[in-house]
Amino acid sequence: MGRTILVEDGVQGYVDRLSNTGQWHLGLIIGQLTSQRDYGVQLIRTPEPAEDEVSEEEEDEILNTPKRKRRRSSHKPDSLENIDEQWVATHAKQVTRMLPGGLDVIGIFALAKPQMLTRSQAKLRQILFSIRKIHDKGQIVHDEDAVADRYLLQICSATRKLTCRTIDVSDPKSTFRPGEWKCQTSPEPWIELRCQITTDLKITVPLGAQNHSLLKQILGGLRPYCHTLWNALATVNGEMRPEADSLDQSSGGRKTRSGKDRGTSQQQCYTISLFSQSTNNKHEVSICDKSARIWLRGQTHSRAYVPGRSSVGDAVKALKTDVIRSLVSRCELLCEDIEVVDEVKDKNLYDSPIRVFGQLPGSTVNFCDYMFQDEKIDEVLERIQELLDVTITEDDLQRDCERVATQDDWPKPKPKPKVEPGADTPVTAMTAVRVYLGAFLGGMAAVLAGVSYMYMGDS
Amino acid sequence: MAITVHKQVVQHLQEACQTSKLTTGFLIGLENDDGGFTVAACAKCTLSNKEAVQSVLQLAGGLSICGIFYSSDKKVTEEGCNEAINSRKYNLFLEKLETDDFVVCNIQTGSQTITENNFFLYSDMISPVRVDVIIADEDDKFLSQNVILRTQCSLPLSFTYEAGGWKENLESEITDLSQKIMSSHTVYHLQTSSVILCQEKIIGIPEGKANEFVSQDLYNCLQSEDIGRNKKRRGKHNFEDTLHLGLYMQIDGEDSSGMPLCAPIVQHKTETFQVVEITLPLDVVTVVSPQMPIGKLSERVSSCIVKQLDAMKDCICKYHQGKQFFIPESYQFKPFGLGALLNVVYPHGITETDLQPQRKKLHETLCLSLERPSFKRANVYRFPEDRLGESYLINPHVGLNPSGVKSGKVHLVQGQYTYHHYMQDRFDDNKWGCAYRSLQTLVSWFRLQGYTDKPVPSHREIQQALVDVGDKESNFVGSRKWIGSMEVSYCLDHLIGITSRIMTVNTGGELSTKGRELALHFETQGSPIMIGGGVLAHTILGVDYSEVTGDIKFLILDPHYTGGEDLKVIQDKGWCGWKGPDFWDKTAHYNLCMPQRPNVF
Repeated sequence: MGRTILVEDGVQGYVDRLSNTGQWHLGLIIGQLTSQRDYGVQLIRTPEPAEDEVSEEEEDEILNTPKRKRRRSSHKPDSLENIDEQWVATHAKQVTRMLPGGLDVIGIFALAKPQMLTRSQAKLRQILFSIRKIHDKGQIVHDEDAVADRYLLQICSATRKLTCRTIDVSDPKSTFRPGEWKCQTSPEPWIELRCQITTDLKITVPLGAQNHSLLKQILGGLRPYCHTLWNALATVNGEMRPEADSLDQSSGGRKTRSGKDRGTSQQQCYTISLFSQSTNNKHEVSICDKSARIWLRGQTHSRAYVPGRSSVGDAVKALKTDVIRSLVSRCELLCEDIEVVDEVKDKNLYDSPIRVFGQLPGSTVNFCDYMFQDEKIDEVLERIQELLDVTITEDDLQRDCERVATQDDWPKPKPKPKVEPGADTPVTAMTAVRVYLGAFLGGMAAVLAGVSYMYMGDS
Repeated sequence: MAITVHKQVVQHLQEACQTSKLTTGFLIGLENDDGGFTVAACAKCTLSNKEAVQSVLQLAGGLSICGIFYSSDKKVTEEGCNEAINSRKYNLFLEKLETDDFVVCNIQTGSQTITENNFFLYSDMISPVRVDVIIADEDDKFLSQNVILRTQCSLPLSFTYEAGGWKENLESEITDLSQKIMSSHTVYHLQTSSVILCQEKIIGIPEGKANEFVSQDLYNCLQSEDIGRNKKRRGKHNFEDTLHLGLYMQIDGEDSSGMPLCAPIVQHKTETFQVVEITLPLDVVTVVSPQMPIGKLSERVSSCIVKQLDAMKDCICKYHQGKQFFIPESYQFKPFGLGALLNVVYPHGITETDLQPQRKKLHETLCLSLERPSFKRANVYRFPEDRLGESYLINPHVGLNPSGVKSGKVHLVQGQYTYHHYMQDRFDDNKWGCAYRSLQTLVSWFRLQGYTDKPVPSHREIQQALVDVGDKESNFVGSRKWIGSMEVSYCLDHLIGITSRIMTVNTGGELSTKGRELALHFETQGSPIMIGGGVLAHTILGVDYSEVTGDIKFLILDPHYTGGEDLKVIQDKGWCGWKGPDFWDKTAHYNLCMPQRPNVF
């Protein structure tokens, strides 16, 4: 029995528009895979590769640093089979960062003349596996129940005939199986899940790891934290419910919905709370040599979407995926940004970008993006245009979910009762703040009692 | 509303205040549902010693410090007590109290007796409230009449190691952790239920009911297979089952003390340093009265956790050897005669011998004699759930019906032993190993009472011991030969250094005349007795003896049982039960091996 994917209305229009260009196109399918049936939300064309003279690694870097302006080039390969699968995979990684929990890159589509499609079969398969590979590399928590099948949708530009097939990308030997592509005029409504996460993570970097990239150092501490998160206890709208329960109980007579009016459809929105428990049960004590301290703290806004029929367990999982994805994405972006734009070498305080949301056209689900403090709206809009193939205006962008860090948020040193000789003093800390903010910082009150060594200055 | 003071505590207070020296200390117990108190232990403490005050607080663990005691050379009067309380002299103590109201026990130095008149209940500092004072036996009901919450979890702790300053770093990390525990982010999930106890609200109970719910209602929230059993238990107000709480930190939500509410800030600082990483294995017990409002529970549990964290910190500081640190481990103790459950933290890997000074202090603080181990690791209080993993039944006689001796007084084995019988340990000793099994039960008692660390010996080890002492030829090892009471006593001596008194009776009938002697054994020694006669060996766990009529029954543990560890079968079929004098063979000669406990602690 093959897989069935229910596809939202708007997707067909997109296919039609692409067909009318008369060119070949390749892109990603966005949606959700579940054990029952799959959901297709959006097709996104992969942007055309940048200029030819840019080497592969640099291409990678350009895609990885969306802040940087990129010029549209016309260096599109003349045929589908000549496209670089790494390019598509990197695009998939980029897009995944911009998806809330529950949504993923679940496959690719190719629109071309029949002969070109026939010639490209091996390439298309290769692309699917490359996407999988790059996805696994960035994966911090492994979901054992995750569906490993991915879609390949082929559209014949001559007949506009759709051929839908799936393949298990966890098995290199697997072959394509037929799948069913079903357009829905009134799709199952998506349920929105929200959560505001507070992170306060102190990481100590082992000796020997100080020369690793900042990202690697952060991930060293983020990994166990994310595992704890993944195993966290959850409540839905303040209630602890059995995982197998249907999330939406409104048909059963109980009104738990706090609907939000979104044009025509009423979208249900649930608030998830997460409770984590330390899972380290090894009883041992050790003294370790360390080379650096990293302190990551702040609040992040998480969103996830699941179809109306989902269970509580699915919903919670989708949201946890988002929390982890968002934390990791942010750190990745921040570190990439630091590598590119960091001029002050001794700077040691960084703002991560804030998360902004927008609505996918023709759908009730959101996408997201991360915006640095020094970034202009136009740059964000342009990036969304390029990576998601979605045109929106400034007003369509929700920017108030997270707050940009201000100088009040910077950690303030707590005066240590006894200052050891040679250790940091609050004075150097202040200097460092001034260097970074370029402004005098007055009225620094001691907060967070008990934090004695988290000074900002260099020793 | 009343103050209930356990008899044993009164005795301890009396002993503590017999000297002419002024003595002070704390009363440890629980606030009852009606606002009265049960005093279950007392702890001596000198006024100026802040460290000692702190350690008493840690010791109180799941109970509360609910009052103070002091001796003075004046006669005990209400006015005198008022004056003392208001004199600020005891303020260091009073500010450590964990209850709003409190009990004061005033004793005149050198006075011989303490009565109800020595106790006062204060709800303000001005004058005592008139309440009844009851001095009562602690009949092991104190704990079972209250609700026991247990939180077991591992908390990671790391602190920077610097030769001179690590203690401060540790302290600051513990303070941090404690603040987190006390914050509203810490919640407790009642395991096998959908109830989460938060500081401001309770998740998982019907709306509007939060104010009516009390701690004992939590039993009804458990999703257990046998709800009927719990309901029955609730009716009896006997909460033998511990309620297990999982400690969780809420990681979402708006309110966060001192946390920036902006998108994450990353701070990076390069420096070379050393970090000590320890996972603290918390095992925190909180005892609350059945009618305690459910809304107060989370805070109470949190404060017990913080007490244990403090104790663990002290343990780390006290026992570290240079750069070597030991994992602090939590133990609950219920010293002999006391109703109170007390919490002590010991470093993992440090021997009992090296812990002796700490134990001595504990004994002295709690006015316990140095003649009986109370705080060895082996003395740890075993919760019903802790016993599940054990392969032997502990104290199978508990729960038997009374023997039926009219006006009899029951004298029983003191403390715990395990039931050893035929066919255990995958070893077929049917028809020959009964005395070996009885000996195993005797050794188990010495083990569980903390007198020895040696394991319960196998048949082979017992035989080897008899060869080693020269009692048997070497071919005895591996044989299926019987042993008798004398051999049991040799083994006790050789294997665990315990001497025994041998009592001999010429006929089984004569045993019924030994009531007083046996009663005395159980009162002073409290160890189980091995009895051998004819071809049979048994273990005597107690006697029910009437001084008036001379009637007697014996509590027998029968090692000839070959079945599985099924308490119901063992009790119903009489493998452990009360036997009359006709149980003994009228014609057989009997030897009783009565192990004598050493005066150690």
